Amino acid sequence: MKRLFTMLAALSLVLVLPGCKKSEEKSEAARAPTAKKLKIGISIPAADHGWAAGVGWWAKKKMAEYPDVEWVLATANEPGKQTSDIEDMMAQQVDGLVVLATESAPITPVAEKAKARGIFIVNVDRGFLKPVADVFLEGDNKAFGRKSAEFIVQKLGGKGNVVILRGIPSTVDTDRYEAAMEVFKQNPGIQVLAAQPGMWNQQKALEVMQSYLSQFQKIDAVWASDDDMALGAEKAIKEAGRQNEMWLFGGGGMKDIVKRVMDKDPLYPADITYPPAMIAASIDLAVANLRDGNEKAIADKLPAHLRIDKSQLQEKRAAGQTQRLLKLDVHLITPENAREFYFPDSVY
Amino acid sequence: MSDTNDTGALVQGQARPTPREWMATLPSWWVPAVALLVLIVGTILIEWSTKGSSTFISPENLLNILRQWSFVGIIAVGMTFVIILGGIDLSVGSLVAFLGGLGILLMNHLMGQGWGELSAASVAFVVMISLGAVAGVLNGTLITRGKLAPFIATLGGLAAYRSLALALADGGEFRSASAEWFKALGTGGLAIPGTNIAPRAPEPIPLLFPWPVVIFFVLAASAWVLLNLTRYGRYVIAIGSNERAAVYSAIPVNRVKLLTYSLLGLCVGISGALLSSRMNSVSSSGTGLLYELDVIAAVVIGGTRMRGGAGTIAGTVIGVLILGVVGNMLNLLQVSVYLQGLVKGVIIIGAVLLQRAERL
Repeated sequence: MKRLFTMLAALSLVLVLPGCKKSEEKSEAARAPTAKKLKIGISIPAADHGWAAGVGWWAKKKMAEYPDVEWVLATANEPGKQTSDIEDMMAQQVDGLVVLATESAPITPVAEKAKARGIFIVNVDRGFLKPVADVFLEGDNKAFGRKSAEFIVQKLGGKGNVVILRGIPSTVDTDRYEAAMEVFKQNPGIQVLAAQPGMWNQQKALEVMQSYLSQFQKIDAVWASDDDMALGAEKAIKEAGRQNEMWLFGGGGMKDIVKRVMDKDPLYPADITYPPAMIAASIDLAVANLRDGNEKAIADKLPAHLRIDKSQLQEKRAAGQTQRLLKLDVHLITPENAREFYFPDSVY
Repeated sequence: MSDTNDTGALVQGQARPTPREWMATLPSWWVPAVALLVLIVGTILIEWSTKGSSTFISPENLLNILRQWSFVGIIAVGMTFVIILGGIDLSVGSLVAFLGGLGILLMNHLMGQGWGELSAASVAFVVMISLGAVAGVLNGTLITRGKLAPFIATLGGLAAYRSLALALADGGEFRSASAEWFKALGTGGLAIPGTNIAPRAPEPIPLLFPWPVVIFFVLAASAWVLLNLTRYGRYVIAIGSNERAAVYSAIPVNRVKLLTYSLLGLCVGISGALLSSRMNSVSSSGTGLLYELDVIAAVVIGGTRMRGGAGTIAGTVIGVLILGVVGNMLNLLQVSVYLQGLVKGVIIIGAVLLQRAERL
């Protein structure tokens, strides 16, 4: 009897599990495939901070625009999971892959494997260590660092104390930081008091900012290099009651920050774009290349902050061509132009 | 526990065993085995009913599952011994990252000294695996000589090894400088002749039977022999069922414990070497994260008792496969990574409840 109970329980447990997935699956199956559909896999990091959440939101929005493509979307919280995700997509015989790597080095081997199998790869934002993608679309992090630092220098009148919050160690962070430091060094009136990693994370940024506030008597500006971190640092500043002494520069174009720039909040005089919507442009690029090879047709559809210089695009992809690098320009957001970069529906 | 002991007598005495008696003759891992079978059939049925075909049963997908989970599986084999012994090891995930990172640093250093790729990679592998065993000895010593509860001793390791990895890499990644040899073990395998998994590729790409899977199976088979056919195996079970009785039976309890933790450390070293080879890098913050959870889950789902004294290697292998099939199924059905943890949790709790119900 006990055994029978055990067996029944085992059966019901394993039957219930796949069962609850079924309802989700049905809506997908409703658009039943007729001919051989184009199949594209999208592998992105799980939404552990605002920007990554924005990536997921834009990816889903863009996928819905192509109902005739069969999409396979997976989010990963660490490189091991992402490698598995991409392998599962290869087993599902995808024609193309859009990959935003959780980390550069560990995802490179699996990307190489996909490339060897003839899968078209669009790599977004965080690059592989080898040029294995067909297209690599990245935000211009050097311009991000340079333009934001130039704004800080100008706003401070070439004189003042700045503290820096850095991101997760990666090429994205290095490019931003080094370009900014170059600008600061050219202006001897600017004193960079400290630069420590806040890991693009609000909580961590708050802790780092707290220690800055207790260390330094006078801070004029915070270069947070990311809007999430700016929000964390802002909390620390307000808790210390020093919000009249300094202002912040984040980066990324988070809608809340853009709104505050638009409303002329003294804490946020400006911001800089680094749109998570670049995933949407990448998806467009993947579809265009796999369908008819005409990239230029999609370039006109893109909104202003996603515009890719047309000279970088081409009508047809040449066979056997190596990775092409496309840079997405970054734009300074000021109260005057903020409306252009404000997307109230977006999660970021 | 008593299931296997009284089977012989029952079957012999009667001409036709009742279903209940027949069930009692089954090995103790039959519940997870049935669950795995149902899971596989269920996945295929769902796929057929929604898509009209099944990616799941393609050989490539099945080998993917095996490879993805062989890293956890290799550690789970060692963990089975530790849990049967009545212990636990929480440090395995952090240790994987630390050993893997150290191996890459060592290899890069040797190559910088002018060593060849193959020799540098081989030395790195050997060092990672032997340092794993050393870390196991350290755990075992803390538990036997230091008289620390295994939970506490290894909780310390969980924090310490991760911290060491983070500090060594300055919070970033360890990147291998070797292009081919270091990667070969984790990404390569035995080519299955006559197969081609990528029709689009310029050259045919055969299906591989991955090395990590081969190593996982070989290790599991050796562990089965060790647990079932050697005196050491009997000692492990005896200590797990009643440590005091084992002491009075003149079993060298401390020595057996030390050996068991170092065996697990060895497995962690092998897994760390394979994992760093597969990724060709180690992430100080992400590699091996929460592995201890997956490993313990696999062992428990496989029917090994958390209190010690009973467990099987076959059960652990099935436990690993169950976790692998569930993860793959959720991926194929595109379930969010956040919900995947929920399903895993339900399965772990369900498995333990089932085993309890069976023993009532």
